[in-house]
Amino acid sequence: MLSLEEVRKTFRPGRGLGRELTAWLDSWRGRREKRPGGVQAVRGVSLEIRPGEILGLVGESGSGKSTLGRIMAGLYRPEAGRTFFDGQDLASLDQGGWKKFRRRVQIMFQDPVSSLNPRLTAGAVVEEGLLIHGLGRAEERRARVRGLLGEVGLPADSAARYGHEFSGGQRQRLSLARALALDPELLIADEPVSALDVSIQAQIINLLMDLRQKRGLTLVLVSHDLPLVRIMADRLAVMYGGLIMELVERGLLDKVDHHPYVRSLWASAGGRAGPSGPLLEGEPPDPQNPPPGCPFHPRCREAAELCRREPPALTELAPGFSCACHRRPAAL
Amino acid sequence: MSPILEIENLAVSFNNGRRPAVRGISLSLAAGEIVGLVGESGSGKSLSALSVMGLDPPGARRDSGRIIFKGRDLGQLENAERRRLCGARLGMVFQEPLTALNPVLSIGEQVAEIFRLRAGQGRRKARASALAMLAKVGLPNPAEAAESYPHRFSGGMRQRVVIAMALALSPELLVADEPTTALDPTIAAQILDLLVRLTRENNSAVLFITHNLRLLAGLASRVLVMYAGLVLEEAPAPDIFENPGHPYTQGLLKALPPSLDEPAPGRLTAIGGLPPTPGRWPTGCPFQPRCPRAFEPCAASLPPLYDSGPGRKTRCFLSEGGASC
Repeated sequence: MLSLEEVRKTFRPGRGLGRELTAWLDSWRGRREKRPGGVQAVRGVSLEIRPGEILGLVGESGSGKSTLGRIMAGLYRPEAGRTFFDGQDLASLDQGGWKKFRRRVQIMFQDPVSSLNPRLTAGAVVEEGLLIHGLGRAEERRARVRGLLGEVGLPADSAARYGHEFSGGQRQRLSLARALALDPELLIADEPVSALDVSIQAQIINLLMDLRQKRGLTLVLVSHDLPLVRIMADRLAVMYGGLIMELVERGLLDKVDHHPYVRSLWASAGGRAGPSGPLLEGEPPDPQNPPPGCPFHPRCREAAELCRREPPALTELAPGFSCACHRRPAAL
Repeated sequence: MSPILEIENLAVSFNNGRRPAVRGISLSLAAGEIVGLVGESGSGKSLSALSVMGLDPPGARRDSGRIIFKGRDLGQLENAERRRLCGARLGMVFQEPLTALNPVLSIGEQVAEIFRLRAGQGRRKARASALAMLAKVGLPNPAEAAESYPHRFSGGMRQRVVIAMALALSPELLVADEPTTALDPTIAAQILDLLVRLTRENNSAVLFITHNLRLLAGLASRVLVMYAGLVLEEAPAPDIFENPGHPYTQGLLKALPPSLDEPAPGRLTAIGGLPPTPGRWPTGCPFQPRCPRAFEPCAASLPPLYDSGPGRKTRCFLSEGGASC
């Protein structure tokens, strides 16, 4: 459905007035200007999303998972690599093409407060997309909005209320209604429940799963919460340092020899009696200055000479299981 | 053994008593004990913690209750004496390590300050103590870290600094308010491990506040579950996970995605409805509008905390006479 080929995204600092001034001062003082390298958020990712699946995109902060999600939604343009939707290269889309793309691919965000326009009523938030795409007459739109608000479980009088009048869980329901208004085929949910209380999290997760079933949606779930992703996703892609470390089908989770990072992630998520297994030392790599070779090697117990030099490629080790690790060579 | 900390019937409200936020909670901690206080947002758990430290936010009013630290009522102390205790004998770790640190003081100065002001050490000695403390919390290269400012550090490293400050003078009590919530899973596990190791070394008691019940498994010896400003259940830690007494605790445990050594279900069991707005609590049992087992008496009056087993208390009419729900 959507496929990424060797996608890269680096965020470079802008050249505001302050930066220009310091650069000028530095050159005037005879100092050599040090050019900041930028944050390398995604460093070459290839991934295919299959129609109808739930793909879990797992990682810690700075792993590049949200950036990748936004590239999929067309919100960021990668500086290298290509993104195809239904066989069409996103880079080749014109304005009309983008408009069509946005009807079919939607995204919902983590923060239910900042992702809703405070000046719009809930009804207007949901209706906006329909207006932009010129769908239906005023009455039809209103009926559609009412239907959507009901579908996500918001009370009947919600349409006239503003974002701040809702609780966090209700705001996430509203975000979902907005994302579904155009009847998309692919929904990217970026940490949809991590800002919510436990008792509300389960409600939203169940709602997402019900709606996806009902509408035949393809879903990309971006989350740091491994136990949560495990119950939802058909496949899990685990990211670290801007790269995919492992791609595995859910059914194989307890059968394969996981990437060392993935193993530590499972250990820190813990079992019934709290964290299990040895703790991971050190911190994730600095995205402005990632280590050479495998991004995980500074924290890896299994790291060898090769790992410090060469970044490992994501290699299929078994049907449904790919891993980027020099210490897990392909059997063939 | 006499407890290190006793909270007796603490009640805090806003708007001159019109918005009760904490509605009478009691708990005690023995030396070296880790007690967990669990609740969702608005349950009053953080406010209770701040109140223990005398850090009630503006507008909050203490309606009743005593906080007794090693036999002394903290409410009766002069401000100066209270300040001497807090920070030295009572330490606190906050959720957000960036706002807990002063952005314009170097890390070394901030940690040394405690040794100077609370332990009366001279500049040079305080600096040496600060460096030793930074090494103890696992900052790689403490001398360099001491010269840096908080914004240079990652969340995990900042939380290590906050822990260094809280434990600098080996307090008898540490209040930890969601210390790992803002951190990534692998870093959270490191920080939790560090906290437990250092407090055990010191024999400090810990009041551990979190919204994540699962985090307390294997950590706390006792758990109190708060909802709507009240304790709904108190139980020894293994029991609360294996045999939760209150319908709310049962619901919370079922709503969590199962841990990785349990089979994954097709969907989660959610608690229906919404938590009440703080200060506008439902009549009777506050959980009654969302409770799958509610019956007539629940809406009529607030159930008391019934004794429901050894070391267990449950605020539910179903546990009347010691029955389990």
